Amino acid sequence: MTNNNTSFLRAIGGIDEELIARAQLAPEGAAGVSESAPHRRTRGAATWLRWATPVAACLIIAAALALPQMFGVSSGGGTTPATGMVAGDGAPGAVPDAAEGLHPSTLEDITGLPTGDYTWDDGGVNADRLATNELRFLMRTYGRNDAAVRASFAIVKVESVQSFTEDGEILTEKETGESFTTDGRAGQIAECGVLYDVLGDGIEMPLKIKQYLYGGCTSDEETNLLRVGGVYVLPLSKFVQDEAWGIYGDLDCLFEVDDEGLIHSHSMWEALNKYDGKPLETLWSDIEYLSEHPVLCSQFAECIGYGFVLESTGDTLKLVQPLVGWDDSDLSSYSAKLDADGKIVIETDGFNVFRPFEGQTLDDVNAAIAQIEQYIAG
Amino acid sequence: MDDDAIVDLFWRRSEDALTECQTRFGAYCRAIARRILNDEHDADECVNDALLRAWNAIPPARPNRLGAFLGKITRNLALDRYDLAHAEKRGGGAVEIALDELGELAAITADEGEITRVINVFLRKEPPENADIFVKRYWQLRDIRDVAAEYGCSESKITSLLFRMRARLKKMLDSEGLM
Repeated sequence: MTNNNTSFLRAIGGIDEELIARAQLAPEGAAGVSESAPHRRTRGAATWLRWATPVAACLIIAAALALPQMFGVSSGGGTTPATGMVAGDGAPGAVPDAAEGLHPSTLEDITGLPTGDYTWDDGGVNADRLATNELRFLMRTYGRNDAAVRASFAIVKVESVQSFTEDGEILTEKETGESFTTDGRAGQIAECGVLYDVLGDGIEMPLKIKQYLYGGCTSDEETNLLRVGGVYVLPLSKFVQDEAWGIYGDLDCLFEVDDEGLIHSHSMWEALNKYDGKPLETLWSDIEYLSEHPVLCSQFAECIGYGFVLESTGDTLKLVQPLVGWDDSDLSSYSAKLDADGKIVIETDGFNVFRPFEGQTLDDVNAAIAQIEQYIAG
Repeated sequence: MDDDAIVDLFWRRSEDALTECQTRFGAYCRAIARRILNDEHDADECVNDALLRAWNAIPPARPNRLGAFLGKITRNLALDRYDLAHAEKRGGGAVEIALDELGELAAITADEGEITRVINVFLRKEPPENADIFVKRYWQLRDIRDVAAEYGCSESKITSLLFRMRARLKKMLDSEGLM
């Protein structure tokens, strides 16, 4: 029976204009479609590697330029990042077999492979998997110039893998657009489709994820390797001016989705392994929440990393005063102080992408921190 | 001409702004109104009224997304006309079909602003593609068949996706005490 009450439709009429405008363009003109060929900067990677803690496996994702059809993607057109759908060069109806590339209707529809019941053996190594014990620390944007790094999460499905030996060289510069080498280490390259990502930009399809097996750090490298048919929720990071995404530090296989759509973190940390055995959407909704609150994630994490004075009260941290003096490193260069109104003023060399808490009072910052603490606790 | 340039024309009180809006957004707005009113003539009048509203609103308004801004005005005007007319004319239009599809949701009597707030939160939590499809179906009032063709998938896929989204939205509205 028809309901003639249009008030709900009027309520829908109030949808944010940003969403309306995006839907106007979707799917063929979706925001975030890359218009130019990826430009890669190996210098950025070198800086990052210098900064990064030793890792058991290093992963580099290279956005492919013109690769054969994979994961429902035709070689005939560009792709809308994170959808696996052809952006195409014709009418929407011309998309070949795009249903295969459409997002699964819901997160519940996403399943991977049966997962191994193991936990990373950290063996006392000072690696990212030890240092990074909360999701929010994976949502960071930090640094300056081309060394600035932004973070994302993506749900990826591995379509194929190609192993290489210590002496082997699988990828040539021509094939990847970048001069990857095997670095004298064994490993594999996985081609992945991206089902969802929280930023929705810049992650092109298909993705190539290269994993090195460093050895010596951990005893579980084989379990780190991505598997064909496997579905993973991977923390990604990339330099702002770079096109290549990498998996954050050595957090390979964080997280894995099993054949029932449930999460396996393989992590020793409670804040991460609390998702184990839970549906993918539980984890993904937290990731989305955190990605929408950069002030609560990257800036907070940055302050821990770069000298803001924090006070620990029980399980919570509180910003009590800004940095005194200059923090001058490859990744950051600024000083902070309070103005006459009690607002944080940042002085930088002008190239920092990150200006922590600028213009806010300490009370504002602490209220924001309390908000995320509450969310995480809840 | 881009949005900013057209908005500048409005601010300079140049009637070229209206011509540019017709050129860029006329068909888009007319399609929205036509789906609601199921009548070409009424749809044209709606678009003209929407342009007049825009003329009166800008300045002082300076919309960031002119297409969405005009689309919203058109949609509201069309729903006003629909409400005025539906006592005499009913059945078979996009509004009736959408209201039927929305079922219990359409029967909510809570404050519209509150519902809008929850819908916005809901859509931002959904994958972007899902949110786009929701907007196409219930904001633009596009046919499911039309949306499915645009995405190159089956109608049942879109129907199923919308069904699940409505269930999640209902749950969220319920948790906010709006059901």
